[in-house]
Amino acid sequence: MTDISDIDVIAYVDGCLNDQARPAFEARLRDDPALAERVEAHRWMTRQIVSAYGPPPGDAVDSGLIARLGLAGNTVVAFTGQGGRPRRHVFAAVMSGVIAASLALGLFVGRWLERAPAPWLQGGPQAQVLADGALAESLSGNLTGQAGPVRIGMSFRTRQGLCRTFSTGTGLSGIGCRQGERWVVPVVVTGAASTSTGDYRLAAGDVAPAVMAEVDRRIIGDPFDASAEKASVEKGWKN
Amino acid sequence: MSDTQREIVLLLPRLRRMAWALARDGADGDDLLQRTVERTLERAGERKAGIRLDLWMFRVMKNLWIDEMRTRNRWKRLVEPLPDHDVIGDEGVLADGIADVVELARIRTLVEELPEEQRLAVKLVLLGGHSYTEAADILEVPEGTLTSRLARGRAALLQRYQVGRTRH
Repeated sequence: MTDISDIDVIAYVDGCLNDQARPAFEARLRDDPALAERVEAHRWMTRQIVSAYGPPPGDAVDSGLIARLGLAGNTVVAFTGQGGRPRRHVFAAVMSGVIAASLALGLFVGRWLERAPAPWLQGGPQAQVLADGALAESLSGNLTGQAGPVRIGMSFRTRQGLCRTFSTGTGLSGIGCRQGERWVVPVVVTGAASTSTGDYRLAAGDVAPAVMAEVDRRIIGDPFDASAEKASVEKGWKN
Repeated sequence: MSDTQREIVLLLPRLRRMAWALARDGADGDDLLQRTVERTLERAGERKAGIRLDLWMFRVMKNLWIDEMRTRNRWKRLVEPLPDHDVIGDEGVLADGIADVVELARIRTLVEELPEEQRLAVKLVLLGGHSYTEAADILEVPEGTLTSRLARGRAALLQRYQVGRTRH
């Protein structure tokens, strides 16, 4: 019989059918083996789900937890400023093996430029860093995941225009954003050559966590899919 | 300690359970709980008069987790497990023990693969132990919407589980 909805079956399984509806449901259950089978199947699945996740945490709260949460004494300030517990990075679950301290954001780019071993970057007007050489060519012409000296991780839209993440075989990764005919590099990270992160490795380019964080801060909407990216390459990355 | 802090301490067991239900993993759950407390204290002044602190915090936690999941999903295609990750060893473990572990892992995978709105409904009710009314309040939807998502989610789990069984 199919005239009884899953909503009613599940409410019955959960003990949430009201006193008016329950007797009628149970009467029907006695005469309808197909309904009884549905109830049994949902009961079984409910038990499986509960078992699959194991027991929930208990009710005991120790003083350590209260202190860690900044709830012991007058410590509200720890949560409102920069001084609180260092926040786990949003990718912590994936990236937990990365030593973030070895990474440096664009602050170091000036110093890095002075001793850059490959012509990836050049200085631009207003202290901008611009992509040069193979990096500029790859940002313009390569598709995500395409092999080469520079690999593109993803393409996405920001308030400042269209941007792409990149990584080089020499341990450089960052973001390039199209401005006019050039690729401005607002974020570049060195020292990302270590790709193994314990449990995971990056598949589509060795993009450093610090770069991922910058993408999260800048991205509008979802990353481009393959066809949108191809179209942008063909249009020369004009907005 | 402020009144709000004192109230939060009393709510910690329930908040911790919801964090566990949503995030499961210990570190993620701890982090979610921490950020929920942090956000609540930062925005204590924005709480509308009449809304209970527990409901407000559950909603804060739910919203933080939805944001977190969307961020992670954005990066999913960039990340793949190492080949030997999560391989179950075969030394000293009974065959049916392995079968149970695999079976329950499969159920968890099916739950985690549900669409967001169904997954949240299933987790709040079955793992978080919330009533239908409370889960609907947390998700900020009418109760009828909650029960419909819950039913669709659980029907989908059964169906996908059975499809998987016939394939193997």
